[in-house]
Order: sequence, then structure tokens, then C-alpha cells
Amino acid sequence: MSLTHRTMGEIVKQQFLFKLRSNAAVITALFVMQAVVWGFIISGAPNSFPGFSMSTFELRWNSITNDKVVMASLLWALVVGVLMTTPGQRNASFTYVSSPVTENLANFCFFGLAAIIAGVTTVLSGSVLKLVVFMKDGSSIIETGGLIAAPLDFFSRIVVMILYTLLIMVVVYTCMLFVQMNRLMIVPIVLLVLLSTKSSVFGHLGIEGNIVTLFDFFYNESSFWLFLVKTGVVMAIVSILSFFPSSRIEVKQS
Amino acid sequence: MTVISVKHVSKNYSRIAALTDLTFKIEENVITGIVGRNGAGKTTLLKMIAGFQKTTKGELRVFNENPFRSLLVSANSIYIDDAMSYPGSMKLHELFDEFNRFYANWNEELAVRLMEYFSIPLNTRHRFLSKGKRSTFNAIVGIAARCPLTIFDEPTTGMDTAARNDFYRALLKDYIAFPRTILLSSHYIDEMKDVLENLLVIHRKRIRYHGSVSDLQEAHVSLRGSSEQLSGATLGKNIVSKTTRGLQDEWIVENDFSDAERAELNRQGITNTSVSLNDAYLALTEQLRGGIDDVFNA
Amino acid sequence: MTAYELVLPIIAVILLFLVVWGIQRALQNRFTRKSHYKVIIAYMTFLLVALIVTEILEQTTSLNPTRITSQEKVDVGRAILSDKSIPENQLAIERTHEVDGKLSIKAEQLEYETIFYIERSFEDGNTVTERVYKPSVTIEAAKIGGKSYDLSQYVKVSLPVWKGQEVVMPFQSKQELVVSAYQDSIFISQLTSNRVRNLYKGSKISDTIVHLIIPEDIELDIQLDPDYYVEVPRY
Repeated sequence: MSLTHRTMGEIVKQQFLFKLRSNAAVITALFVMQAVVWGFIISGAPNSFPGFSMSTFELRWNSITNDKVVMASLLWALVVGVLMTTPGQRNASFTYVSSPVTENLANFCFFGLAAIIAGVTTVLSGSVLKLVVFMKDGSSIIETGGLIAAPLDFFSRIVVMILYTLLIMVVVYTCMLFVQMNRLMIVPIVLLVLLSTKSSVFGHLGIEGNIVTLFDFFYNESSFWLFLVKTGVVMAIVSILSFFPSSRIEVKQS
Repeated sequence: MTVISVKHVSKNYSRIAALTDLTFKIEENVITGIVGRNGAGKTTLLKMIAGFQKTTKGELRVFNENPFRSLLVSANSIYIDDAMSYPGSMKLHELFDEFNRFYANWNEELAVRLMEYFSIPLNTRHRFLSKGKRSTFNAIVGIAARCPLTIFDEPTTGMDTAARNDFYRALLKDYIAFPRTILLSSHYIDEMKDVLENLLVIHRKRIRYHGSVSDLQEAHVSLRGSSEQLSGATLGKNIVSKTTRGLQDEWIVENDFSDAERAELNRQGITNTSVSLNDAYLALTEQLRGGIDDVFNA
Repeated sequence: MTAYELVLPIIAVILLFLVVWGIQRALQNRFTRKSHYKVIIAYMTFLLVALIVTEILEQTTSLNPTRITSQEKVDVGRAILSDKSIPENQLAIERTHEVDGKLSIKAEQLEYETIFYIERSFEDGNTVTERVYKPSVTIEAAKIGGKSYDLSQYVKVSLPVWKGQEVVMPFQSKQELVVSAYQDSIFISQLTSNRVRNLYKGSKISDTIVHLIIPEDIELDIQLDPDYYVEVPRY
């Protein structure tokens, strides 16, 4: 029987498509979460204040934002980052044709598409919330214009959301790969997280914490290109690092 | 052509040795049975060959490549065990589609026909199958993938007798039509004996025997007679096991009898017959018959 | 800063993580691939429809109130007293009325939010000029220098009723203005012009002002509480 030679590109493509088909639940989980958050926003007490209530005129004001949808999607990104490092995922890939390198690359492709879906749906969730605003009794004010009113802003939100989602996925994925490679790696990672969280608590006291500084590094960037370069460079460094544990993790350890 | 070449390979899990200093070669298109007692290191060896785990020491080459991280080995080998990971949301026919995309020689038609024969519905999911059906499905995948290197690690776990027999028969038939290198591991050597050409016996983390099945059988002989007769005749021989069967004793002895010695045995009225493969294997792995009795007689 | 407060957010994240993990696991195992595809397509379609509908509604039915800073806000009463110009949009109506000799000014209600500014003109004749200014309703920006919403244009005012020698401010029917506002998350708005959250501290409403310019010849009979009218001094 002659041997089949498959190129890396072929297998990465196949594995990426396989991951899409086999992990459709990852995407539906995002949608379920977003829909649940809409539910909370719609049914929950709106961020409202009563206007001056006088004998003849009363003003009531409700304000809605999609902050919670953004938070939910970012939390989902965290889960996806961890999920793709689980032995179950790796074993499933190796049930078919795979190598650590193709597995890693296919995962990044998967993250890319998942982040695009998360970015687009998170921003479009804004439309659903706008719809809620329109359907509520009374008048509606849209404080941030939509696609027609401010197309550049609209697309910039999508891009920013995609980049943040991707950043979280890649960073969490790489951290978890190190943990998968050696369980002891959990100690420095947890210490790092605790340390930065602790610092952010100091941040409330007026002391700049690491996580605050780190967040500001991205968040305070208002130039599109610089933001793209910052997130891109960080993601590139972290992804390159991920190949180190990835090529050392054994499959089907049990 | 040599498909698998193992030179002084060892494998440790943290500091505990799983395999020590293995050296052997497996040629193309040979069916080799990997046998050994529980914990002998069969699964570890197979996983290293499949490229799932790395060696601690030594040189392991499959298709002339180190299988760990090798795409070539992955594309040309399939590893089937009873803990296959399939995506939970995919139906069996969807899993087949995936195999079809990844494995160049995948025979969908054969797979579907085998599924029909074993009456496993295609429109269900793996986790909803019974234990035996799951193993049967995995086995069907292993056959239909037609990989140049096909590895079955205890494929018949949970299958009923009929399914086991059918599986080995199907494997043999497809092997004859499309020869490939097959590694088979099982606890039950008897069920595999019609399929095997070679046997690799792993015992105590080392290779105890690697060679043809018939050679192994010929290496031992079973002697029957009274115990006095037998102790006299086997002086200086390696006795593997002793069993009492009614009035006669049956001893299995390593077969290094010369023609003269054999004639002497016949003269004394000691019947010497060839041993079954299973007995030879048990003898090799020191699973002396009656050994467990000694635990209670002590 | 107690240890409790320190650990709480971490525990919250872990709990939420487990919830999401559970959702994902349940979905993965409970539904087939096809069901997932259906959900994905349905959800995306719904979002697209929502986008189209809201884009249309945004162009048609949404309020687009002007936004003003506190400096831009005009105090109509003070402007009348100091004879400054008042923006056109504050004016609800300007009318003239012919009155013979005497004018009674009344209100149907004692507790009302209308203030009459009564100015005597030097001119002769019996033509009274009436300017009704809407109350200014604003949603006040919490930040100093921030932009407030001016909702004045959405207030309805029942105009004074003129009958011969009498002008009566009618009973103002109760009005309720409910406004729902949507703002995109600031977490992802760093590249847009709306980088900060628009926060509001409350709303402010001023009184309806009826500015009457009455010729000297006409005799006035003001039947109003002194708190509710101002005589504009003559210069």
C-alpha cells in the first residue's frame, strides 16, 4: 500500500473545517448566552431615573447599553480558549489526521472565525436592544448612531470586539496549553492572575495595578492602526509561544 | 520494507518505567499481535507508534520518521481503541464523512455495508450506542480506513462472541484484498490466532518474544505421563507448567529435545504433543497454570 | 480592602465560567450538528432583520433632540427682563389680540407652572402682543461641560384662552414623557467619537412663560398669585 502524503496546509484546512463542524455548539452557546443577556436587560430594572415630577409634567428616562452583551461574549471567549486545549478536543483531532502544528494552526483559524462571529453578533445585539428601545412605551433616543448614521463607528466597534475576543482566546489558550503540558505551570499563571487582580484592587485605592495598566495599554488607544498593531503584535508573540507547549503535549494520556 | 523500527526504546511516566529497552522491527503488510499481561506496556507501545506519545529514550521510527509530531505517520496510520474521542454532536454517518475527508483510502461503501451487517444505525450518535456496538463501530472505522498502518488496541472489548469472530474475519478478508501493516492487541490470544502471523509478547516492560506464531508453538512441548516418569524425563529441562489431569500429569516444557531424547520419551510411553498458542503464550508470560492455587495452598 | 472583597470577583468569574462551560457541554451533547446549524442560521437571520428594522426606525421614529451645553441654555425669563434675543425654537406661538380698555389675567389653576411676564409698552392702541414660550425640559449631563438633551420641543402647552377682556391660562392636562435611550457599549467604542458613557444626573424643567406686551391705555386686572407673574420694568 503506497503512503499518502498530505501537505500541512491541506490538513490545517481540513482540521479547521472539522473543528467548525464538530464545535457548532460553541457558536450556539455564544448565541444562547447573548439571548439570555438580552432577557436580563429587557426584564431587569433599566438604568433609569425619574424626571422631575411636577403636577402637570413627568419625565421618565431609561438608558440601555449592550455592555453586558460585550461582557458575556468576552467571558465566552475565555471559555472557548480553555475548551480548545482540553484533551477531548485534541484526542478528537488525532482520531483523524493531525500533528501538533496543524492542530495549533487549525485552532487559531477556529478562534479567528469564532471571534468574527462573536464580534459581529455582539454589535448586532445592539440592534436587538435598539429594537427593545423602540418597542418600549414612549419615545426613543439612539445615542450612538447605527450603520447608516455612523457606518465607520459601526464597523470600528465590530473590529474592536473581534480583536478583543481573539486576544482573550489566544492568551487563555496559550496559558492553558502550558498548564496541559505541565500541571505545575498553573502555579505561576494563577500567581500572575492573582497578582494583577490584587493590583487592580489597589487601582481602586489610587495605585495603578498591572491589569489596569495592561487594559489601558489597549483601551486608551484611539488610533485604529496603532490598536491593530498593539493587539496584533501581542497576539503574534503569544501564538508563537503556544507552539512550545503544543508540540510537547501527548495525546490520549490516560 | 520496514514499517516500524524500534531501537532501545524506553518510556517512563514521570519516574515510573512503562517500557524498558525495546528493540524490534515490523515489516510491511504483516499482522502482528501485541500481547502481554495487564500493565505490561502494550498500550503505551502502540500509542508511541501512533505518534500520540513520545519516547523517553531510544529511537522509534515509523515510515522512517519519528511518529511524534509527524503528519506523514498520522495520515497513514489509524489508532483504534475503546476510548475513541468523537465530537458529541455528530452522527455516525457524519463521523464517516470526516474519516472520508481525512483518510485517502477510506472506503465508505465497505463501512456502510459493515454497519448494516452489524445492524448499527448510521443516523445515531456514538454515545447512544451500547458498549459492544461502540467497539464494533470503532473496529469498522479501523477496517474501512485502510490505513497502511492500522493499530487496534483491544478492539473487541465489550463485543459478544459472534461480533468478535465476525470482526476478525472481516479484518482478515479486507487485509487479503488490501494488504497493510496491522498491529492487534488483545488479552485473548485464542480469538486472534487465525489472523496473526507474528506475535510480539511484552512481559514486564520488555519484549519476551517477537517472531512467528508457529515458531512460538514449536518452542514448547506438552508431555503427559505419571509425575515420576515426567520428572525423570525432564531432568535439566526448563519446566514451564505442571497440571494434574486425572491419573496423568501434563507438563509443558521448553522444546529443546534432541531426536534421541524424543525417541526415549516415546519408549517410556510419555505422549508428547505440540502446545496450543495460548498455552505457549501463558508459559512465556509466566502465567503458570495452577499458579493461583499456590496462593491458597501456602 | 478585605480578603473577601479581593476574592469575590475571582469567585464570580469562576462561577460564571462554570455556567458557560456547562451550557456549552449540554449543547454539545444534547443536540445534533444539524440542530446547531439551524439555530445559528435562525439567530443570524434574526440579527440581520433586527439590524434592518432598527436602521429604518432610527431614521424615522427615533427622537433626535438637540444637545446643548449649559452655556447654550437660554433662561427665557431673564432674557425678557434684560431684553435679549430668544431663540426661535423656544417660542411656541406669537399672537396679537385686540382688547378694549381693560384686560383681566387669570389662571384656572393655582398650582401651575406658568409665569406671566407683563410688560407695558409706550405705544398707544389696543393691540396686545402675546408670546408663549415652551418650558425648557432638559436631561442634564452628569459631567460638567457635558451635553444635555433638550426635549423642550416634545412638551405640549395648552395656550391661554382669550375672550374679550379676559385671558385665562387653562388647566394644563397631565403630561408624561417616557424616553428610552440606547448607547453602544463604551468597551468597544474606543475608536469612535463616543468614547465615554453619557451619564445623566436628572432632568430639569422650567416654567412656561407667557410674555404679554400690553399698551399703556389698557387697564390691567391681574388675578394671579404674586409668585406667578413678573412685571417687566420699563426703560
